[in-house]
Amino acid sequence: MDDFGGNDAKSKEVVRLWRAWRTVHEMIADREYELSEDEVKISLDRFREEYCSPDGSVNRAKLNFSARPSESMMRKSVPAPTAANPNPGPDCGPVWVEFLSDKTFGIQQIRAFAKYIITNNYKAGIMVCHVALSSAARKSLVSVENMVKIECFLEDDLLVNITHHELVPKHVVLSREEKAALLKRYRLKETQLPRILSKDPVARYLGLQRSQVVKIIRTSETAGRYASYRLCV
Amino acid sequence: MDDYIIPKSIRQPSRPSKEDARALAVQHATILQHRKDLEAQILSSLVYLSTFPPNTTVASQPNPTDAREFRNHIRLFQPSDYDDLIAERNVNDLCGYVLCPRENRKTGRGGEWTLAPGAGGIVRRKEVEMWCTQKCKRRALYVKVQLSETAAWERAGIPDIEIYLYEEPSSSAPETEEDATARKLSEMKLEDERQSMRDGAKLALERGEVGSLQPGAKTAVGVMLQEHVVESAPPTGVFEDEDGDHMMVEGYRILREEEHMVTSGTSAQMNTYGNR
Repeated sequence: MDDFGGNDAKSKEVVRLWRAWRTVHEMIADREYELSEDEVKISLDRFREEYCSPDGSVNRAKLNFSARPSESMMRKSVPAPTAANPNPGPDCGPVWVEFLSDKTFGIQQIRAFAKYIITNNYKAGIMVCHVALSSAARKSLVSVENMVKIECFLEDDLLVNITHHELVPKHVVLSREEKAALLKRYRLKETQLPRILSKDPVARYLGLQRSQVVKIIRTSETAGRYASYRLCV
Repeated sequence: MDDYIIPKSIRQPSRPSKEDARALAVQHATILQHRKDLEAQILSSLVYLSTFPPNTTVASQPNPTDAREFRNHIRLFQPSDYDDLIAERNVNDLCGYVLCPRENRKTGRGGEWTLAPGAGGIVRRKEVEMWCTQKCKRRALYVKVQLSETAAWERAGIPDIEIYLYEEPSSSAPETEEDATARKLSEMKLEDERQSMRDGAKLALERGEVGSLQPGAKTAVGVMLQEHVVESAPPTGVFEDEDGDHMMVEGYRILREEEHMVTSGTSAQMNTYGNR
């Protein structure tokens, strides 16, 4: 791309980043973090004004942002009380989203990112990078998992918001109480539900974790709407 | 029929007691944890080796400490882990061979393929950019072919996995006397006793004994010997039979023909006819 040099390549890059930026914002809003409507839906012109340097290239450092969880999200994330911890607090916290421009991606970049998240008291981190992680880096992502939750998305995967596609039904994450009510209503054990993989694109979009249940609402020719439930594994 | 007892072979197996089930679960959990620990260890070795070598300046003459460290850390790697290590070193702008301090080759920009006269014409750019020179590639692959595909936890307890470095063909400097003595000393088996113990431990590992998984954690097995005292005298194998010992086979008497007829009737008769 760089071989063309001129404005063409640069403006292509700007459009790509704008689309990825919008999808990330929609994703954060769909996970019920606090983001206002006009923060999410910005036009390409406004994006150019705010995030581009005078020579037409995007200033990636400006794209990074953080978001706080909303009230309802905090309420949903409270884990079940146990004997050791009778009054548990909410499990979620602010999230940090960073657009990384590194040409290659190894363990050291992951470590630096995790360190940044921890020192700034974020509970979760989302990396948007434009090259694939090295396989060792992916393994190290698992090893830091119990300290901080880090997700990694490729810029290419974020150009389109997949949940807006007409063939993708609406997915709603159930809270702990809703899940308990569902299992009671149908007299099910957790394992008797259909399953969804945590690496499923929609599950990744919603940040599903193991043992969460998602309600999938499809339109049906005969029944109007049809709801099914899937357990994340 | 009332007191009919179900034979043991078709009875339902009794369910394991709570303690047994727990012990079994703990045993399996320990094995899984052992595997996870080994994987974590391999990952940390990979991180350590991805910025190697601290003391070496030329790859053909590695610092002995560095070489030893490298050989120790690489022991449990699988070939795929080794590929990860090379990729990770390239991310850090280093040649893929662990004991080479130089940068990897950069071929500039262009497509996926490139011309490399030394490596045989048109090759993938990625493969050229892994190493600083063809020599380093040879050295690195010399190590790679020694690595085993077997999972790390099946090899962890085996002490004699040794990885050898590529020996430079042009090591023309003659060996000094001191070096030679040191080499011979290290080759000598000073501890034959311990060697036999190690062999024993290795055999135990092959048999799959759990105690040998973690050194130090030897499980004491409570062995109870119950001896039954045998009251009756064993058969001597000789009967007091005046008819003749020549008819005895291992203490049992062979029936004569007329006794045959009496005991087994017509079938024995037919047998005798058939024998004629």
